[in-house]
Amino acid sequence: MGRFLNVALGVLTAVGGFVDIGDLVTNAQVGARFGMSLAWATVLGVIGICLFAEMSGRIAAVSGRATFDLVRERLGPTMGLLNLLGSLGVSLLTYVAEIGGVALSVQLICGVSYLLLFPIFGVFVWLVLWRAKFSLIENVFGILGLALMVFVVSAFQLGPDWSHLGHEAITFAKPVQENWSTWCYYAVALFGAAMTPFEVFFFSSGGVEDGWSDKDLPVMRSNVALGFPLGGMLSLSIAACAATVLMPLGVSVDSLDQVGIPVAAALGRVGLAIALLGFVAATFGAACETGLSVGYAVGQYFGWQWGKYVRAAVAARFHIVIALSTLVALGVLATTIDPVTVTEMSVVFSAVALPLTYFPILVVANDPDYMAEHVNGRLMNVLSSLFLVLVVVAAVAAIPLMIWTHLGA
Amino acid sequence: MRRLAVFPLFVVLMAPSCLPSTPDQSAWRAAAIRSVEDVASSVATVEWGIEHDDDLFGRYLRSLVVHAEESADSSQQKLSSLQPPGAAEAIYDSATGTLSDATSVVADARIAVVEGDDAAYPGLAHRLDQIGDRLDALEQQLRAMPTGDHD
Amino acid sequence: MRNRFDSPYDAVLHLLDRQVLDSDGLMVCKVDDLELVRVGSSWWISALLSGTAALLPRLGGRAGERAMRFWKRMAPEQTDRDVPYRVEITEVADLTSAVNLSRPRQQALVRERRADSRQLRNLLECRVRTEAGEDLGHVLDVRIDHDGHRLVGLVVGRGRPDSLLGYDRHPQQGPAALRLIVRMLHRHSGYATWDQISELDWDRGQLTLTGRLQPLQAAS
Repeated sequence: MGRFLNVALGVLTAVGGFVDIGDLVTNAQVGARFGMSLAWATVLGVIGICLFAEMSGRIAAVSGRATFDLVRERLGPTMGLLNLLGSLGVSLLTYVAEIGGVALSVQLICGVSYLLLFPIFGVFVWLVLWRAKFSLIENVFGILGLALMVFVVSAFQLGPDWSHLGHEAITFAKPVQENWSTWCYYAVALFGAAMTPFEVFFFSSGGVEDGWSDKDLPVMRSNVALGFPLGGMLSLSIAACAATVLMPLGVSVDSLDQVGIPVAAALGRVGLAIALLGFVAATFGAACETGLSVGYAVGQYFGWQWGKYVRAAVAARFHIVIALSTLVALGVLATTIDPVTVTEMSVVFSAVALPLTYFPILVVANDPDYMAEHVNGRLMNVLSSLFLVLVVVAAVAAIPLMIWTHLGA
Repeated sequence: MRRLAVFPLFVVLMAPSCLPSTPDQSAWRAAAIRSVEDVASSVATVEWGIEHDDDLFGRYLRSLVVHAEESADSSQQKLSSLQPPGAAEAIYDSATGTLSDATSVVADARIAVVEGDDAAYPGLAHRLDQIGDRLDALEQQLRAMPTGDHD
Repeated sequence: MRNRFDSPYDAVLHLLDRQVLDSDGLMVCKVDDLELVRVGSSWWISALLSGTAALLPRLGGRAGERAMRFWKRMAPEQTDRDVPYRVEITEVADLTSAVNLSRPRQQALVRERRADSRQLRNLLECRVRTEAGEDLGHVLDVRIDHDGHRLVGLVVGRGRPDSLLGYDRHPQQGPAALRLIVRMLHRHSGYATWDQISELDWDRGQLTLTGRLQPLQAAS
């Protein structure tokens, strides 16, 4: 019974924790402009993250080493440092977006401008990361994030023409007035939103925090195999809701409040209230994960003690890095840059940074010295190699597409 | 000697940014269509919001309308600041006129929402619907414009 | 996990840049470099090196040198700014996925320069040529005999030490595509025993070998 509860908790946390501000905004934008014609990009992204999360989770369980530890060990100090700078840059950008997302979500609830709220919530995130137990961070926000299931309910309640949506998805039916270049840009953005690099740092470091071993492999695999795809379904339902309500109105999403419109249309105030709870939980949880990931990356590169499984005093440098990065994030938000714009940029740069993370994971997951008998099987290698190619293609195409389409205008 | 040469170079490089940007016909058309679409999106958002105010919380509707107004204003200003190429001057006036009418309707809606003036909602919804239709017509006109590749 | 010190191992692949853990499992540092000492005609690993002074020069070539100069200039009043922290190799209990020390981490790292010692990175930067003057590339890795940590061989080839990624040593390590690419990039790489070294000029970074390079094989 205890085992079952463990698995259930893990799956639920994975589902609720899957969606962050990037998924919320990007899926709604895409649904409103392109209908379901880009559903394939989300599906590919979900498969990709399942593969790489499983590998990095397995590495953490079998060898006790987390992702960034191995990046330096496998690529060497120079490439590792460049990798660190790149990953840090993207993680910081995402951190800014998530804290901004929390402030925007709370603004929708209480009406106070997000510019007054973000310092409070930024400090709150830092305090939680400093003081709260890891299991609390992992579980509470994951479970609360399940409130976003209201999008799945709304999608059904709205009663769209499912065959039409399905047809759009399968035939990649791009709307006539949009360009193929913008379509490709949003494909890369969706891919980056689903396969966020920090998710893998967090998942594997979290495995070390939780003290995973060989025995935890089945639980870890079920978390990944059930949790992430269900989370992906959440993303698709956000897009479906936007396609059903916003697209016919000609509304294009450029603020978080428009994302909630379909839920209000389907379920009224009750649904909207649940969605708002979901926004706050998802963005706050993601902010915590991103903040921790910054600390993990720096600590794991330099060999410092990191993690919340030891007292704060024992991992002093780790906590200082988190505090400093929170300060930097708040500084960026203080320039009054629109958090939604930062989110749009962060998903694209996430796509650019993907190969940096995934390549070392693929190499180490095959190394018998680390993995003993748990090395990648044939099928896993074939799929992961294919995805590595995809990830490199997305990374190379991301910035040119971003410039060419003016951030998807 | 090198420092003296830098100054005129600096002036030459900075001069273009002091003048309003002058896109060619197809670039202006694309920018105009984008602006019209953005403003139409804001108008549709506000219209939906005040028609469905029973499904929303007061603060939520306020946020929705304020953000929509900000977005509409910035799209309208972006287009007004672009110098229209010769062939587009005719449509420039009607385009900027329609956009500025749209932003003023949205502003009126925002004022009503912030003051909680529910009674005004039906009238505003009607006005938003009408300006939405005008924006659609404007967009069709812009799309029908030649892209001017053979100028 | 098996103790890698049960059999010969490769310094760069198995030891360098690894996490060091103490006897309680807490993290100490990374292995940023290795201290080598000469006893008789052989060289032996005497200590693990760590710290900014050990890491910066490993960033490679010009960038590494400039970073080091910058580091020293930041505090000219300190005498030992360029001396790395060290942990005696005898304090290492075993090597699994990390280097495990046999002592707690409190005061484990000592800043001390040992006279007449060299660092592994000096060896890794060495250009290798045959006695006939043919250029064979660089030292990519060093084979170490586990009993006493004596240097017994060199992996020589073109490119940088980390570009091997371990694929040369395990014949069947997947994925197949990556293995083939790495093998192709390193088709001229080979192994030489320590006795094949006829001349080793540490300061100029030059190493001369007699005989031919043997094909690469896993350490064990």
